[in-house]
Amino acid sequence: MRGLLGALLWLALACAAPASAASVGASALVKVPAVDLLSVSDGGTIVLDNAAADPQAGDDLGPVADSTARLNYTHNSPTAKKLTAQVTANPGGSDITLTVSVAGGTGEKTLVDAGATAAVQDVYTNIPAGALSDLSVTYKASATAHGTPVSGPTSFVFTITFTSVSS
Amino acid sequence: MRTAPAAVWTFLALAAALARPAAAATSGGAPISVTIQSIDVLSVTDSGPLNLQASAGSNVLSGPADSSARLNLSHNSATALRITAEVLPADDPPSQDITLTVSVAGGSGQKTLVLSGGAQGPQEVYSSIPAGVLTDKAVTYTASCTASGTKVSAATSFDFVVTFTTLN
Repeated sequence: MRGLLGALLWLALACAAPASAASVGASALVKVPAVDLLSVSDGGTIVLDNAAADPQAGDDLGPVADSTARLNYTHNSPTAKKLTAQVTANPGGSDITLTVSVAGGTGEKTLVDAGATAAVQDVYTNIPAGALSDLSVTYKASATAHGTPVSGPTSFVFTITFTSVSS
Repeated sequence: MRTAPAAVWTFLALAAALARPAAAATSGGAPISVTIQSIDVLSVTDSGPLNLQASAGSNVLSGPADSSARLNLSHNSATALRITAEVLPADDPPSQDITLTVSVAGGSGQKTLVLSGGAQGPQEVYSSIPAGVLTDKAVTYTASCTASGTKVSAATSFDFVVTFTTLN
């Protein structure tokens, strides 16, 4: 009788034992880089000719706009960023005025004023961490017939450098 | 007729007794007890780094999966076991919106451990494991986040501790 009671007690204890549970911790390491990636595609070709000139404006050519270029930007800084633009290669020999504006940005800014390179311009400010995707970049160019004399069709290629900086 | 002294007779009797073969011994049965311990041994190695990358114009950072971690299990339970994985809230780094998934080769498929920075509780990664072993199973992690949700001033590592548990 005592043996039977002992067996029953053992069985009860066995059934009351906690469920099997083995635990182990393992590390999963996620590395997040500091991101500050800016890309701007090339603009199209702005053609200034007599047809584009306003007869009422004397010898003015243009302005003519081009919105071919696209801007993409991503950053994950805790500090807001801004984008600047400046002409870093001016071919000279013209009185071209070139402006730029970025969709959603700070409006039209002058990069080249009658042939002279302007100072750095803010084109987009107060950009929180995140992305600007596929924004239109609009250039406008104008010149005068007398200020930009050419012997034949002549291309003036300007290089514009966009830069992200802390706001 | 010569007779041996009593001491000699005694010696001879003792020698004869010792020279007899031993009587056959029988045992009533000697018990041997073998105890099988309950085995439930789980190990999971650490993953390699999950390096996230970005591209201009995209708010999402992602990167290649990592399958360097290995899982091993031995158990002898009469009942099939399952394995869960979990990032405990205390082991979930702050200030990030990382989504972390895990899958174990041959298991229950990809499970989300952390969603946009929030721990999702225990996830079953392997089910119906009969007594025996799981050997060298690849553990695959993936991770992603957003630039707007995970702000860093410099490259930053977020170390998640994933707790794997066997259960009936």
